[in-house]
Amino acid sequence: MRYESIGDAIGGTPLVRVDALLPEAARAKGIHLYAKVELLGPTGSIKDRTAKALIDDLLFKGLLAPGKELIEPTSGNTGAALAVHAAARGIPLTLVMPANVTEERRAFVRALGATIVDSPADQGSNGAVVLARAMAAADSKYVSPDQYSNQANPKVHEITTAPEILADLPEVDVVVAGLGTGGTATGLARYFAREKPSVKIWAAEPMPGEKVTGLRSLEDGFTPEVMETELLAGRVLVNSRDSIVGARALARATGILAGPSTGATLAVALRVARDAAANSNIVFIACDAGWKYFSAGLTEGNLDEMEDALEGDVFWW
Amino acid sequence: MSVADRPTRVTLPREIAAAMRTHARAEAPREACGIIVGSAPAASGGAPLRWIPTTNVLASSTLYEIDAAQLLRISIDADDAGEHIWGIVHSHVASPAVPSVTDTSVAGYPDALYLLVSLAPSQAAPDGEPGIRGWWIVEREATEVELLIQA
Repeated sequence: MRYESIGDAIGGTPLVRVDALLPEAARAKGIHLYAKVELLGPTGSIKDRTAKALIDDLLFKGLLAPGKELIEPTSGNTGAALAVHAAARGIPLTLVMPANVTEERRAFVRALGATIVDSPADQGSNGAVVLARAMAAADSKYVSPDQYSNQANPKVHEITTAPEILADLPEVDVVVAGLGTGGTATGLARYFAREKPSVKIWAAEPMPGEKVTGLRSLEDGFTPEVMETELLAGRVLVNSRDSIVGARALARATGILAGPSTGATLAVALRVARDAAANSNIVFIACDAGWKYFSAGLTEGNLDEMEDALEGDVFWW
Repeated sequence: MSVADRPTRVTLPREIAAAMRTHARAEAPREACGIIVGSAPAASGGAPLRWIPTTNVLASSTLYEIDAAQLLRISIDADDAGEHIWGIVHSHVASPAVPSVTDTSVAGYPDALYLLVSLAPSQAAPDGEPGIRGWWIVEREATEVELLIQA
């Protein structure tokens, strides 16, 4: 395939049948399970779609005129994806992240030309948000894409991710996504409500007080503006241990190496499958790649150590 | 939780022990494996409730790995029932019921009790049944507990 820009090479991700994860009883009922493998994008996450959409939106609105620069508080997938798409368009990018973010993540975005500003390590991701907003308020050259409130975030899933699923699997009955910004689940729900209302959208959400990188628990008191929970069939709480075990199971049983947020969506998909009608087709979003979590112990060894790493307040969203 | 804070004596229901032994014999000469679900992790003093045999995907006489998808489904079902993974079981077909270096390095559940069943005749219990021993495995160190099989 030939493209004019790396930004054009996103989307169109494969939908892979992973029935090996289902219990025999579900397979006997003709239930099928599919992974929408978003981790195959340029930066290994579904945030490739989001970052491109956010930058496109700012350009369309004329907010990224020459002399303007992007600023975003993120140490994770959105930062990596913004770095790729900003580099591809020659737009300066500043990422604000806690000072304790690992060197491998810093090196990734620095290699793509992003400037890193450290926020206090002891204030975690909230400290990064506060500092980025203060910098944007103090200098008019900065423009923030703000994935939590920008409607371009759910929109890109409504116009790309969701139609891809329906085109590849017209008989789809259920789609499971993780709740992070709410962009994926909301975009999917808006599309299917219009095009195939029988499709149920379930969301995976961490247990209150537990952390699954990339996902947020609404019960912890933060509801992103782009999220429309009333469109969902329901939200299912997943603990961090099942998220890790889920990612390990996906890798070992299917060869798809994904991160713990994908493990969480898989854990919800299996719960849905357990109670599903015969011949149901269930899709879950494999939203980011597992190689980013090797140093945190995702793929082997002690579950407590990986849970501790997730508690470290350094996220890939 | 350090080993010092854990129970030093653990009781296993007779029917669970019997089922573990039956599974170990059935799988020989491959190592057998399975999960015991409990009211809380063994390290927290939970009670063992249920034995679930699992597939050893390595199908080896010297190594075991619990089928990851099966483990995930067991974990989800346990969560939904308010239960926990209490114990992780595997067999040794010809060696004592002592964790190998590989066993300690792959142990992923520090709050579960690791139970080993030995089919080696020299390791049999006084009643002639395959010997069963229980271990905490924390930071790759195995510490044996006194395992009582309920009469």
